[in-house]
Amino acid sequence: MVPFETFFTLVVGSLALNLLLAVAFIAAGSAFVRKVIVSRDEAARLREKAVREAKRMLEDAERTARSIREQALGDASLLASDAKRLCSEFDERMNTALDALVKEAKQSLVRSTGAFEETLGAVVKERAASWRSGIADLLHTVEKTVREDGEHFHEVIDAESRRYRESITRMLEESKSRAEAEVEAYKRDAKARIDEAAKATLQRVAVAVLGGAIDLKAHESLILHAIEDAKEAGMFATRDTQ
Amino acid sequence: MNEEPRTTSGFDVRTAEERDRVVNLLLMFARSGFRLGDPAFQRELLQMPDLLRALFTDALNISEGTGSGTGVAERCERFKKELSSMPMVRLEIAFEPDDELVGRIVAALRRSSGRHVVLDIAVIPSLIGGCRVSYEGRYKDFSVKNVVAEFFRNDAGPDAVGVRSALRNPLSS
Repeated sequence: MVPFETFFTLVVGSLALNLLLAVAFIAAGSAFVRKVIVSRDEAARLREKAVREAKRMLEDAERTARSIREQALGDASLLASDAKRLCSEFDERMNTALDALVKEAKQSLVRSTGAFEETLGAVVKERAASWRSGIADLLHTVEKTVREDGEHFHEVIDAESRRYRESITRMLEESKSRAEAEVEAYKRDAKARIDEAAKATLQRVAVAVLGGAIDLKAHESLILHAIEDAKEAGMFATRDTQ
Repeated sequence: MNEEPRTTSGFDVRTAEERDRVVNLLLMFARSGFRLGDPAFQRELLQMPDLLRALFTDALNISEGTGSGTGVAERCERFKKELSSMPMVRLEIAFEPDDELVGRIVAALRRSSGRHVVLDIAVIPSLIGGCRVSYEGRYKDFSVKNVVAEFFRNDAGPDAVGVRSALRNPLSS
């Protein structure tokens, strides 16, 4: 048998243990409940905080952007005015430089023109002198050649004149002969034509006279005599006997 | 040969025109089946001169108004061949000859040639007189026109063959 003290001790120990367990359980449960409640509040708080933070950040961003834009506009305005000023200055400087350049170019051109005129005059003078000399030489040569050729000119002219005279005389003689031949031919032809015309006229007259002179009896006699003549001429002979 | 020959059938044609008419009549007779009563044949037969018609019917030994005789087809064929084989002389003369003169010319031609020729006659007034003769490819001009042309061609008068004799008798008589 278990001693009471032990039993008691065991019961009390068990009870105390159960109590401890119950307390621990309750403490844990309350801690859990509390934790849950705290977590819900914390979440709401955190969400509000986040919203606020976001709003603040957005406002900051807008403010910053506005500031940047205003700054940029200001900078741009400054840059534009600077550029305009620079352009104006550049134009002014360019005009000045161009005026100087043109002035210098004019002076240079004037100088060059004077030099060219001088050079051209010199060249022209030189060429003119050369041409004068060449022409003089040429004239001298021509004069010399003409003088030399002139000595043979009369001989050539005489020979050519003789040749032309002979040629013309020959042509005239040929033309005369040809003309005489043509005249003779024409005479013969005309005579032949006249003869032919006369014959034709006489023939027509003869035909008219004869045609009127032949009566039927004479016609018959002519035909019968012609048949006799045809026989005599062998017209009716057979081919073998001809 | 001065005898005038005749055809074996006894029928005679003098000119080429007559021969063509008879040959045409023979062809019609054959086409009609050798029936004398055929209207077309009768019409053609009646248009022929009486003498020619009589000669035709005699030659074929048929009588007008009767039917065809015995052996008419053979006689027709023989007759046609005989006519077709007759030699032809072409004569060109200056005037239109009458029937009698045609007969005399044909007789003279047959005597001269010794053959039973038919005459193909053509009238050419510009010949003046005389004639031109064509026979089996031969040709001679005995016309007065040729005589005159020869005279003026030669300046010595006519000397063509037969020209003097052609002019001699008729013009001097």
